[in-house]
Amino acid sequence: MDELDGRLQELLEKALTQSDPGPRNELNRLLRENADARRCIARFLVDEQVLLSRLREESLAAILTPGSVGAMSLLPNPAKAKHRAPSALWRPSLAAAAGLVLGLFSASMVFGSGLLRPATLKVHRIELANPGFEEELGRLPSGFPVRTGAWSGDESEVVEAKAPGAAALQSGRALRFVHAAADRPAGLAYACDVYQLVDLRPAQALSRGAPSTLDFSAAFHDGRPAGSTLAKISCRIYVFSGDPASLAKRWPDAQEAALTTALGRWESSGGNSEWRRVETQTVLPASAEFAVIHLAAWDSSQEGRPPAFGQIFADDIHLSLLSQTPQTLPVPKR
Amino acid sequence: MVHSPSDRPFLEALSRHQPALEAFCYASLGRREDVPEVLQAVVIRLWEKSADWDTSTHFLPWAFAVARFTLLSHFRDKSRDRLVFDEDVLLAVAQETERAAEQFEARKEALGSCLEKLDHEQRRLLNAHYITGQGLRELAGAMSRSESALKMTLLRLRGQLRKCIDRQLTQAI
Repeated sequence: MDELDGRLQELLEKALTQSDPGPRNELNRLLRENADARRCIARFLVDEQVLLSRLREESLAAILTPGSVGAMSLLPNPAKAKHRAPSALWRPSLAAAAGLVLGLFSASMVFGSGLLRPATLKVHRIELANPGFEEELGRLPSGFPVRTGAWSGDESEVVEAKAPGAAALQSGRALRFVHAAADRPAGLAYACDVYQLVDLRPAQALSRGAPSTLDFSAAFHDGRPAGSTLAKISCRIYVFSGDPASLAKRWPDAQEAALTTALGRWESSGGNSEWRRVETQTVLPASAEFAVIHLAAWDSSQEGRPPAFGQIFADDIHLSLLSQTPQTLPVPKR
Repeated sequence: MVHSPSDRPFLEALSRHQPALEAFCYASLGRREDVPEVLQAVVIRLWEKSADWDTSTHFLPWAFAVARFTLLSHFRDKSRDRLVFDEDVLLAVAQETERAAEQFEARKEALGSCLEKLDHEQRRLLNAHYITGQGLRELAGAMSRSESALKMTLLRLRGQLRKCIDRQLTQAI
């Protein structure tokens, strides 16, 4: 972990100080692909702020201490702070609170002058094809989809709720992951992947250029007995511009061309009686035209043999657009 | 905008958690110079949306959600060369950032004891770098040390403090 910390700090420093985009791109790549790296960078940066904040307080206290009882009452005493009750730990200085209130009054003046406008958050459901797998029983078409509006992928099937292992299904039908397949002809088969292409142009029209995010979620059920091999079960979204029909020929290499991507993941060793909703969010870039939504069950513990999933299910797939819409505000009368 | 007694819980929560929000902004941006502008925008947005906060729920998760949207607006306004993280990375890291920032006060408290264990030279280095804002090159010259050696010292010091904080918090549990 120390090595990763060092690598991240080095890349961050270079990204901040060098004009070469290499370190910045490498830093972002590492954070995209490595959950430990995300944890490390978040903790490192928050801890840096913790350090700065503490040193500032102690430095101010040192300046104000000599013969200044009144001033000290405004600041936490670092020497005594550790003996305080947890409930009192948060108390900021009165000066900070006063500054905050003054800041808010200033903000309200700017607000009144019309320079700043508050926004409301709007949520629009994006229409997916067969989001609950209710339309047709049986095997899904194989291969990466070549058009919007249909699920396809590795060996998987739509089953009734009463199918073996699907006892926890409440009603209707669900998708069952059956077997993993390799992404490339000579590749290893770890994952059973299912995809749908989604046209994002209607969503772009709804967002009307406002900052927006896509919220993608799916419900999963792992009906295997407790103590089964560790399966990584995920929903992922890739956002692209261009022609969706051309993507099938270039998948999975085409992932590199995604404008944004986001992954939600659940790790399970079976023994679950409930469904688990997994979700993820990504921004909607202005140039986005379509998305690939991707459901997967992944297991690398089978020593080269393609894992059979059989009792892992997906259902109730949602894709929503969350956009901030500026409000028109009445200007206060003076 | 009129202030009323009903604003009090919001103001108390905001003043209590503003340092954690600042840490959240910094960790999301990676660039300290951009923090004041974004933090101000976040505070304004929280104030505008204060009526949406259910005071029976925790303040920080709600505030982080509002802050995330403010950060996204900031990302859209800035050219890419001013940003350290890509937008999708910002969102991917957000959960970890929130988790870390939620512990801000506890970690700061634990840090107090950890700083007491440092020797004079180590404290002087931290103060010079973080309080007076001296860069590594400047400090290296003043301390007759190489820049890379000083960078390594700071890195180790930060690692030492992090482990000390983690130990303190584990003992507290």
